[in-house]
Amino acid sequence: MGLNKEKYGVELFYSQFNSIIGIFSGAHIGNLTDLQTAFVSEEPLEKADFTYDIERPYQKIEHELFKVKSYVATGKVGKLELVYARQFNLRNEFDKHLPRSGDKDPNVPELKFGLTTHTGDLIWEHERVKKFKGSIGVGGIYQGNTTEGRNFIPNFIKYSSGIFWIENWTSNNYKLQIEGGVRYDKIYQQAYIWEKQELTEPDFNYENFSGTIGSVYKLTSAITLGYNFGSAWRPPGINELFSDGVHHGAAAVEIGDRTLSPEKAYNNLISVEYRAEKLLIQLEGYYNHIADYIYLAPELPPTLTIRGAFPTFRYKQTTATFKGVDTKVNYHFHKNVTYTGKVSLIRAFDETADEWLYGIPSDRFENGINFHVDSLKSLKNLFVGISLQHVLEQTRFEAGSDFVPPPKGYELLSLQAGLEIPLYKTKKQTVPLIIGMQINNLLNTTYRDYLNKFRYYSDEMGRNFILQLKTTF
Amino acid sequence: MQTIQKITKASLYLFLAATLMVGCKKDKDSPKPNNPTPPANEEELITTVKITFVDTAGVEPTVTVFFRDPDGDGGNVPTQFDTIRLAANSVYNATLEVFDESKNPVENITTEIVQEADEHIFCFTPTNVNLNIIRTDSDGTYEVGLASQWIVGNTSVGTTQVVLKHQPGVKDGTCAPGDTDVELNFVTEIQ
Repeated sequence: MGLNKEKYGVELFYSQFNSIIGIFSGAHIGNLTDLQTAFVSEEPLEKADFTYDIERPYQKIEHELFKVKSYVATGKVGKLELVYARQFNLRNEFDKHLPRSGDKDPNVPELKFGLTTHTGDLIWEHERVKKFKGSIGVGGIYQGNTTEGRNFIPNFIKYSSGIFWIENWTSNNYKLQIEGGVRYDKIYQQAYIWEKQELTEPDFNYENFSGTIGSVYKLTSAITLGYNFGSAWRPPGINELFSDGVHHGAAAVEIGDRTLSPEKAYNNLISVEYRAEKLLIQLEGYYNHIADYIYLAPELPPTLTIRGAFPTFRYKQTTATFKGVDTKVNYHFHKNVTYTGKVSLIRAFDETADEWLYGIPSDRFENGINFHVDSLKSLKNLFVGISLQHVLEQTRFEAGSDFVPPPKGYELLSLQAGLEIPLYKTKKQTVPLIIGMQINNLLNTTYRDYLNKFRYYSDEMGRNFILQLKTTF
Repeated sequence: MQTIQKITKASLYLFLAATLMVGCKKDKDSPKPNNPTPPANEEELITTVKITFVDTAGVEPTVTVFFRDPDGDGGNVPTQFDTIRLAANSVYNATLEVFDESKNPVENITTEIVQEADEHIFCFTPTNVNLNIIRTDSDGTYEVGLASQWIVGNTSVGTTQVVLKHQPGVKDGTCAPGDTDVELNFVTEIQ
């Protein structure tokens, strides 16, 4: 809903989304043995009869968004825009079982998680003046988090404010573009934690400058060169500061560190693109230096709890460097047939400890062939594609730093196909039924992925069929 | 006339905005707790397992072992994890008790397990140790394991796994279904 005039305008937006999501009760686990049992069993150990009622375990979710956007033209060259938004999210989690002592109200969730966010932005944009185009603005965010029930993360508030200025310069022949920007941010976080019956309110102040400068140069009509240097930072998240306990999503113990300082990165990115009629080559190389890089490192031995031993991870920080190359090639060797190739290599090093960083993706390669027909009689967008993904074993790790060494490399074959069938006609258009089919891990390869924490106990998914039917009405 | 229209329109939007703002859902809980005391921990926690062994012949002394992690998962490490030391070639009656020592007063979860015996089972698995363990109690249909008999053989050292499964609606006398509430590997010495 809105009012849009040349000189000024207001837009209002409001949406609400409420849902109750049932959770498959066989997916609920108590410890690692349950997890392993669930993974290896042919059929779920607990099956429920079919029902339309949503029973425990389930989640009740509420989302609400309210947004006002207004603008005023400032002379001929610019526009002043003011945006305010309020978002409210509430998640109630109801566990599979009520506590054994039967005096708990079943309508009170075992975990209630509320998040209220207010954002405000005031931005002044100016149209091209001589060769410059840019904007300048200020923004602020307030976040209030509340958690009730099971010990998850503490309540906290977060204020952040920032001021930025960004300009873009384009040469007369449009061959060279240079863009530069600076911003300054201030963030204040305060947590409320009950420790031994006492409320503590640790607070954190962060502030930082960041900047970016980049340029794109069209060397010929086919070749584009790019270079970008930027600095960036982020403060530690509340979970990184305060986690302490079993993370059920990962079946691992995670331990935070209150003394973490913000992560500061200096990123260099160089890119070359060659785009011709039949061939597209994209090549990107980067070198990033990150001071106080925050990561989750395995800590040996596993933590002993009453439900057995859990692998344990602690948030740590160090000075790290990331070097890498990403390439993509597309070759249309026939009007209906396209080859796609991708390579992704990354080397990450812990400069302080002088060793490889934990948990970095190993080298991966992908080759695919896609056969595509725009239309065949009344059918549209028919395609069949096959791709082979090749992931090498991660050999760049420190011996003895992990619970188990990285898993072996693997090759996965997957198949995709799809088409559009006309369903019915309206005055404006023909509404199609879009059918998509995908088979992942076609050869049912048994493998584990280095980046998945479940690799400590189980294999990845086997052959997996996905069928999608989509239409609008 | 146009100005009036403009003003009417603008105020209409303002009114709508205000209505929506007021109509928005409020998070009733403020991030900063208002209560001077921590919220009651409604979550059930098992912090302690106690096993008492009584010699059926009345000759050997009674043995009591504990596993204790009073603050639950994470935080401090378990404070007590005893070795089970039993006399060779004897028979013990074992009684299992389960507590929540994070609460004040300490909550005895054993009574709740007794009340809901048809939802619980204890499983015992000795490894590398000459030991035979049988459950000696019942919920009416299946065994429970709060009471058991430990038939001890020759001198040996190994482990005994003690597992408590919560199996509401799915108990079938085996250890397979349900969620694991306890899984402990007690070092066991027969001497």
